Formats: sequence, structure tokens, C-alpha cells
Amino acid sequence: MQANRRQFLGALGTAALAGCGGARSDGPYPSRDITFVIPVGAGGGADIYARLVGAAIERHTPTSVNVVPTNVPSGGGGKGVVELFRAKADGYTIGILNIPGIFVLERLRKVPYDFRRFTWLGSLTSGEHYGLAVGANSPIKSVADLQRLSQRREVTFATTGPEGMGYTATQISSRILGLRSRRVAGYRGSSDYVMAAVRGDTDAVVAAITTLQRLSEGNTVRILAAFDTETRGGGIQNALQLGHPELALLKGERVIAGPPGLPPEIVGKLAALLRQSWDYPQLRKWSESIGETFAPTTPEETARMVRGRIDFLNQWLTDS
Amino acid sequence: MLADWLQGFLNLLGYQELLFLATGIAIGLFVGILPGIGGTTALILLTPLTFALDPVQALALAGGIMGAVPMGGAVTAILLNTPGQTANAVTCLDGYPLAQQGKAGLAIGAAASSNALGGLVGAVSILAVIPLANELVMLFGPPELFLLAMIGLVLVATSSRGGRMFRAILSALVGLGLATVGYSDLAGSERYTFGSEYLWDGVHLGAALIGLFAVAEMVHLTVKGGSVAKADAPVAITGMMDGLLASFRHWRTLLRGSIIGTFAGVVPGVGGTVASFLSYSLTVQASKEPETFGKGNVQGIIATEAAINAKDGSMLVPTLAFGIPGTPEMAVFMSILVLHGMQPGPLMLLKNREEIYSLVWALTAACLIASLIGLLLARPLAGLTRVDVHILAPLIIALSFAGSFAIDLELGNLIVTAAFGVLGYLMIVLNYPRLPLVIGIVLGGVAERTFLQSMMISDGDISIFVNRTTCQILLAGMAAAFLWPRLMKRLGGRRQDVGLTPSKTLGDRR
Repeated sequence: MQANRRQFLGALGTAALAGCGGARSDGPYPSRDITFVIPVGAGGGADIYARLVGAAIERHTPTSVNVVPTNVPSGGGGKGVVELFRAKADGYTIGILNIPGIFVLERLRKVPYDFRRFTWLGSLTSGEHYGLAVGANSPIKSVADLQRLSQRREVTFATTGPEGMGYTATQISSRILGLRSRRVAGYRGSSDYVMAAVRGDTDAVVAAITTLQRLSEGNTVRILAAFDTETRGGGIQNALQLGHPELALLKGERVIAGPPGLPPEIVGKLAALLRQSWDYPQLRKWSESIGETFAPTTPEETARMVRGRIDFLNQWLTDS
Repeated sequence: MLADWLQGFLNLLGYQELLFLATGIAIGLFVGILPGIGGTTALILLTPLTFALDPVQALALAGGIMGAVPMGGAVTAILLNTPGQTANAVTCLDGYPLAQQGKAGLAIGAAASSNALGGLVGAVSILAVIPLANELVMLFGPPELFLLAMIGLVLVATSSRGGRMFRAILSALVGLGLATVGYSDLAGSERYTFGSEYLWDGVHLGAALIGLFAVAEMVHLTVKGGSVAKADAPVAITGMMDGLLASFRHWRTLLRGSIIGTFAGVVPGVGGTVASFLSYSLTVQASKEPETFGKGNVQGIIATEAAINAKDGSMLVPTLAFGIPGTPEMAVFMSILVLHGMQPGPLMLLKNREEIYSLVWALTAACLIASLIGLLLARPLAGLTRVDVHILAPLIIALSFAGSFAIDLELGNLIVTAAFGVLGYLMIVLNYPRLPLVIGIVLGGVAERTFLQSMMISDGDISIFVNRTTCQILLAGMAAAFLWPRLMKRLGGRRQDVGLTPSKTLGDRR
């Protein structure tokens, strides 16, 4: 009787645990909610992209599994990156990482992560190219004008803080183009610092080409150059025409990653879910609206891309 | 433009649009009342739901939330000295003393009417502001924002009188010091984080506010005993009609607050807290009886609430015209726009005018309806001021800590709330005003960043603060803010000398 009671209570306990939201389920992956860490504040481009990808992935998981976006923007995004790095490598925490953002953070200060150890899962879009612009009323009409100005004095650029992609893009493009420059940092977003140049606070800006195109529609900015290989009219030079094809490597990439040590079978499943998420109409529509094209990469291709970007950044970033 | 404005209104009259508007209003009121939650959190949680909605429905939902949150925040500020949002902290100054005097009905009535009318003025003035959007946003760069921050800090000092001025300045200085904690995005380095990742973003303002006001007040009440309303305060909840009409009686205060709110909304980075504080301080300075503020002067509520609601409409201008969100709430709102194919930028004001006006109408309707609901609930809610503190305090403190954690699910928030609860209690006991500390935290970061940016722009030349036209206007405003109370004092002294006004002293707890 006592053994039966013990067995009965044990079975009750097991049944109770099995009913607890799948927390310790041994079913096929995924069998419970997946946390999607977003190391930026709600409302920005990366946040929108991550939420759409999360919603898209959900369409291909069992009904009971949700992808839960979690914004962790503290410390310029560093806290979110740390959270992803320290998460358990069980496939139930993934995140979106900005390349070169996490590399720059590591250069700037002591951070408790090694970006080389993340498990790269893939990316879906072609990434964001950057461009060089001035205010619409600026006397500067071309990159050559900027280079001539730089021979007389430092060219001023408005940009974000040092951990932002805008700052890195400004630093590197100035070096490549041979511009003596001074950065006015600390603006809160790309639109904010582009408007600084329009206002006349600085001579020029380097920002995402899609942001510049949007603002140029209202004749607010004049785009001098686009750091890609596309041919445009209106006097806008591309990286090839500037004689610096390496400028096309100056891109902001949004990569989906997991914590270090993710088992290969889970990497494979997550990579597959990621590729399938491109069929989500909202995601495609949004990507097209910001000028990004579908360019999926496998985990291996993503890892190669990240290494390539880091080599490029190491070559051009200085401690200025 | 008028045709687009009217069409925007008509677009909102479909039954589904009205349903989403009503849902947004209900959610906005609810989260506005809960300390720490606020419109930003509500919008984040609802963003995925908007995927399936058409643009006008999504805007109706978002507008309902954004327009209703301030009224919810005002109710808790008045009844419990606990601002629902940071901007409502200024409402506490005169709202809570009125509740203590048993005049919660009057206070809520005034908040409701100034909410509604301020929102209406904001909605109409956006018609005037939109054509000037480009010029207005261009007027304010880092030097101008720095001087605006300085005006705010000067007003902290000049809004207090006598011995309170020293305490207000000290409180603000502590706030400025606390604003230096965290990761400096200009320097790319950490300050006073002591190795804690939690402090990378500095002192969490929401968690601090909850501790400083809600927790501190409840602890103080528990020690004192009794209830929020004093024992000798009238039992009946009356005065709502008087409160409603007060906004019309004090139409100059309402108009001043609405104009300040409208212009503050256009300048990215100013926000509701600074707008409400500027409006309050200027009202104090313009008043013939400044010493009555902080003791239950209904104009204090009108000035604040009108500014908060007027800014909601004009805050859309930099957000929509340039994609520069002035607050986290606007940043989330911007993402909803983008997800529905509306890309903020110069052309948005031309291509999506009807949708923009639908949103403005949704905001206005939310202000009006939330105010009406606030009035209907005033009597039962005001009954909270009669509840014994030994029942009320544990409930409020538990809700406060829950709200603090819920902001972003950080355990560190609980520690910040507790620490500021202790600090707030000590400040109450030692008669130090708490609002200047909040203003110091809010303005400290802005002041530092914009000063350094100004120096970078001018390559170290300090004359940048006097060479620009807008800066010159702001400097004149700062001088006026500093000199005006002295002038009034001198004139008041002369009136006493000739027996025109009795002397009055200021001494109150904020």
C-alpha cells in the first residue's frame, strides 16, 4: 500500500511537471517558447526586422511555440549581446546582432563576451549600404569638393556615439577617401544626425543610403556618393566611380545568432526556420520598402562573412 | 489641407476604427494609472497585433493609447502623489495637496478639462505647425537644446522661494550628479557603474520615480497614520464641476500651457516632463500669488496637464517629418507606421496627410473621452483618499514594485525603487523638494550631451551659445526667468509698503 501510494504520488508529480508549460519537455525541438534578444530599443530598423523575423519563424513552429521578442538596449546594446552570449545553448534563446556593432563595442571597452564565439545562424537580407551626403543648401557639390575642403581644414561630420554603425562608417570612409575629419558625435539616430548636417551644424554626414534617399525626396539633403556598386544618376558617385571599391564592404549587416556551443542539429533546424521565414509577406514587404533584397546565407556563409567584415574593420579602424 | 483634415476625421468614423480607438483608450487609461508601465510598454506589446490591421485602424489604436495615458497618470498623481508617467510628476505638486484637503474631485475635474482642452488646442495648432515643420525642427540644434536645459534648471531655482530655493538647488544638483551614471555614448566609456551591467544605462528614471514618489509617500503615510485625505477634510467628494470650469476661468494658464506644450513637442528631446515643468514654472512666475503654488493651487494642475496633452499632437511633427522620435513612445509608434507602409520623411507630410490627420483626431478623441471617463470615475477613485493607509500602503507598494519590475523585467529596477524610496522618504522628512531631483536627472544627460556636441561643432568656441539667433532668444528667456521673480518681489514689496497686499510666506511639502 505504501509503495503504491508512493508510486501514485510519484506519477502525480510527474504528470504535474509534464503539464508545466513544456518547460522541461524532451519533445522534438522546438517544444517551448523561444526568446529573441534584440539589443536595441523598440522602434528602430533592427527592432522591426527582428520582430518580423520572429513572427515569420513562429509560422513554421508548432502552435504552442512562440518567438518572444525581448528588447535589451542598455549600454549601447552591449547588455543584450551579453545576455545572448551567456544564454543556455539549448536553442531557446537567439538574437539579432549588428555587424560591425558588436565588434566595435568589444574594441571600445571591456565586455564580458567574445563575439567570435557566437553561433552564427544566418541572415536574410543583403545588408545596408552607406552613403555620403550634405545639406541641400550646402556649397559642397561633390566628393572632390569635400576633399579640397579637407586640405584647408578638418571636415566635420555629424554622427552617433562611438558604438554606432554611423560612427564607424564615418571613420572608415573618411580614411579611405583621404579626408581630414572631425566627428560631432552623440546624435540619437541616423535621421537626427542627418538633420544636423542639413541645419549646418556640420559639413557632411555618412548614413544608410536608404535614410539619405528618403530625406533627399524632400530636397533636404544632397547625396554625393553611395558606397555600393549601383549606378545612379544625379551626380551620385558609387564606390567604383570613386576609385575605392572597398567602400562597398562598409555595410551594416543584421545577423541572427545563438549563444556559443549550440548543438549542430539545433543550428540546422534554426537555420532552416530562418530561411523559411522569408515567405512571410510582411517581412518581404518591409525589406523591399527599405531597399534590401533577399540574400539568405547559411551558418557557414554567415561565419565567413563575419570574419571578412572584421578583417576589413581591423584594417581601417584606428584608435582616433 | 482643410479637406485632408476633415477627411482624416471621416476615416475614423467606421465602426472598426471606432472600436480600435475605444480599445486603445481603455488600455491607455489602465496603463497610465499603473506606475511605471506607460504608453511605451503598451505600444510595444500591441505592435504585433497591428500587423493585421489596416493603417487607419492601427493609428486609431495607437492614438487611443497615447491620448489616454496622460489622464490615467494624472489620476494617480493627484490621489496618491504617484505620477503614472514622468511628466505627471509636476501634477503631484498641487494635485496631491488638493487631495489631502479633501478636494480630490476639484483636482480631477481640473485635470480632466485641461487634458481635454489642451489636447484640442494641440490638435488645432498642429495645423499651424505642420507647414512650418521644416523650419521649426531646424531651429533647434545642440546649442539651443543646451540652453533649453539651462532654462529648465534656472526655473528649478527660481520656482522656489526663500529657504526652499537652496534645498531645490541642492536636490537638482543631486539629480545632475545621478545623471552622470552610466555609459556615455559621446565618450564611449562607463561612469560610476562599478562593474554593473545594469547601470550601463544609468539610473533607471521610471524605477527611480516610482520609489521617489509612490513608495516614499506610502511609507511616510504609514508612519503618520490615517489616510491620504486629512482627518478634518470634508468627507463628500465634491467640486468636480468647479474643477471642470476652472480651466475656462484660468484660460490664460490653459493657453500658456498648451502653447508651451505644442512648441515643446516640436523640439525632439524636450519631452513631456520638461514641457510640463516649464509650463508650471512660468505659471508660478506669472502669478500674483506664487506662494500658493505647491499648496493646492488648481492652476498648477491646469498648466501641467494642458502642456502634456498639447505636446502629444506636435510631437508627431519631428517624428513624421524627419523620422526623429522625441521620446521612446514615439520611437515605437514610428515602427508601427513603418510596418504599415508609411515611411517617416519629408514626403510623408505630403503623401499621407489623411492618415496623419486621422491620427491627430484619434489623439484628440482619446484626450476627450479619457477625460470624460476620468470624471465619471472621479468619485469612486477619490474614495481611495479615505482608505486607511494600513490597507492602502501595502497594496500601492506591492503594485509599485511590480510596475517597476514590469518596465523591462530587470531585477535591478527593484533595488533602484527601494533605494529611491528611502531617499524620497528622507527628503519628505527633511523637507527637500523631490521634483528638482527628477528634473536634474532628466536635464542632466541632455545638458551634458548637447554642451559637448556644441563644443565639437564650434571646435571649442564658447561663443556658439551667443552667435545663433535662436540661442540669443533663449538667453533672453533665461534672463527673464531669472529676473522676473525678483522684479515681482520688488513690486510686491512696494505694494505692501503702501498697504496694497498682505505679506505671505511659502512653506510647504512637495
